[in-house]
Amino acid sequence: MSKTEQKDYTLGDHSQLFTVLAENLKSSFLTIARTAELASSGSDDVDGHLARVQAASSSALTMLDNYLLSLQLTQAGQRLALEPVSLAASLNDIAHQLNRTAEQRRCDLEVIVAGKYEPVMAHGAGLSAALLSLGHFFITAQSQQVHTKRPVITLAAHRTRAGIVAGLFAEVQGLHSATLRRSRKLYGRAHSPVAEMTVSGETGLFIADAILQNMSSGLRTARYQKLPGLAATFTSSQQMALV
Amino acid sequence: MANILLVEPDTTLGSVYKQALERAGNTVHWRKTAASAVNALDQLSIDVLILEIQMAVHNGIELLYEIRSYTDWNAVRVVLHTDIRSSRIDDRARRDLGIEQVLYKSDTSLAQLCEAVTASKVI
Repeated sequence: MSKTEQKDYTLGDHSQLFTVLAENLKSSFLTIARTAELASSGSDDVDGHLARVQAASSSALTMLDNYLLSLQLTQAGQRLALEPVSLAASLNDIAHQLNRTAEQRRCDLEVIVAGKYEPVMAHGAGLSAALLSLGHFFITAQSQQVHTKRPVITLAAHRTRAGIVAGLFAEVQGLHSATLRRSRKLYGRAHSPVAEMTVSGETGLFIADAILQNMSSGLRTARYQKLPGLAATFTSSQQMALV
Repeated sequence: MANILLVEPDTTLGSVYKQALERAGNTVHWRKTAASAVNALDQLSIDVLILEIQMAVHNGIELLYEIRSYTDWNAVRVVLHTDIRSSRIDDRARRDLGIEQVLYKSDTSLAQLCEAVTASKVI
């Protein structure tokens, strides 16, 4: 092949290659997840292993899906079309989707939506993908740390003067604003940019960060009932509030 | 129990979906392309069509336009089971093509796929 025929894989082309790779990997993980589901044998022992295969492949599938959505949303080059979204419904749905992964990684989930809120302005699919990715990040991070009791991850929303804050909160070591700042600086340059919290599960954090910066105040460290967490602030839907 | 035409281009996934639907008590005819699906519709009495949109040569939407152009096949119930997010499928296309359900593959377990067939038969 002559030099002019060779493809120049600069950074931009690489991200296109990752897009294709992610689509292909999705297909592989989908096959693994569904085959594991079909292979249930009725034996507790075998089914336990198959359930773990299914949970791991479904988790990978979700992360790839959210990565592709984040690319689609962040590369559009324009502001996202925001619509009124119910945070309570979103948080409950996310908790439901994360439940099996949490169970496999031996932690519990709880949803607390303090008070009754009007919908917030967000991109529905983007918000779900961001919170789901953040959930995977928290579950992975807590599973790599030592706990004296079974850890609980709280998905919560509460009102502040700036708007309605929604995010995930847990007793996870290393969760500080400095950690978030440093991890953003190390993104793409270090093998484990969030080493204070996890050595392998940081993808969910960056996917959530990329999506949320386009539809809210962006991802920030926050506290809820003394628990540290990561959350974003949303404006409420004035139109829906009038109804 | 339904007579199902499953149009799924992926060999491994198609085999898995076919077995799961058969275990749920259905009769499943599996085809990989739009052209072979049209032949199957011509020869078999199909209750439910489970269709992937992304296929080589002719895609699933083209196949649906073909199907809906024949009155004989208008009663076939259609469930899209696809790799394309449902939010990207136009509401008008859903209505015009008589698509009853759109299931995103990544989010749909085998049990949910079987439930969708049962629900489709009830509608």
